[in-house]
Amino acid sequence: MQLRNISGLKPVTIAAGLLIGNAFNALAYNDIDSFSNLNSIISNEYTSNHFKEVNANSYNDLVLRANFERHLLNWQKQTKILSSTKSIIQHPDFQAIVEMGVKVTPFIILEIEKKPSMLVWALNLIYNQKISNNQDIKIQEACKLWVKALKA
Amino acid sequence: MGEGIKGIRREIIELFPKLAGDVNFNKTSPEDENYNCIAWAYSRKDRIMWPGGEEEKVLDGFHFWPDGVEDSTDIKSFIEAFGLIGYEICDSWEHEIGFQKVALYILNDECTHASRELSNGIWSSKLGKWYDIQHGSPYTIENETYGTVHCFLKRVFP
Repeated sequence: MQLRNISGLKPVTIAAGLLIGNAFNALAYNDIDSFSNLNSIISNEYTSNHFKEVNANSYNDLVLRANFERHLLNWQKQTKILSSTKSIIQHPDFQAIVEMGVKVTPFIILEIEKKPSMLVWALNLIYNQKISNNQDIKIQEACKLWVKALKA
Repeated sequence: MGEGIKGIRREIIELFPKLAGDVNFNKTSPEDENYNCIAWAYSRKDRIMWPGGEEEKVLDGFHFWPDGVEDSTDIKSFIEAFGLIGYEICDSWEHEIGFQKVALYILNDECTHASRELSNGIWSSKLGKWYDIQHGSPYTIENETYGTVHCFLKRVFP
């Protein structure tokens, strides 16, 4: 009996709590909105669409970055003791990076600027060109030239 | 620092388990992607040496494969390439004063790796894009990626 009474009171207590909470939140946000004029900004359709677009782009960028890093780590781990150029560039994770195309070049540039490596070959395959006609160029030098060219 | 070196040794041994019992095993260089194992065995540190294909022609870096040697991963092409700088097939990996030796490795009928003997009888390998290491015998870097030693070559020490 006592239990039923207590449980019978629960919805009322929760409802009251929610009402007070909502009222408090509404007041709090009203205060912020009136101070920041946020409502008028969001009600602008152009701005609102822009925010949606930015959020979508940021999300896509995060997913792209995460996928790139996953493929990069797998490729580095699984090819580090290989000498066969063919095996290195035909590795599925390397191919996945190349297939991502120009969208991932900023990430590649960051990586090869930090640590020059054969990852530069992804740029060769994405752009289907060498950065230099010098046959004797080292990987390290090629990385520097790519960074200079694409960061300019 | 000390833990770092231990960590790297452990990482190398995980990939090359036979090195665990090799008292001469040592990492001898930092990572360097400007050269690979074949170039290192060929006594060059300025190029990537591997039989090429069409796709490789667009890649930056100094790619080298000797003119006149077939662009093939067949072991015969590698023996021929080393032959151009004086190496000939020999029977044993054991140290012979005045001679330098190379070991070629094979997996699934394709050459995978080369190691080179130093003047003191210790062996040296560049592990792909990774580190240079020293090892006491060519057999201690046999593993599931490099396969097994296929043959030995020797030349008069230059």
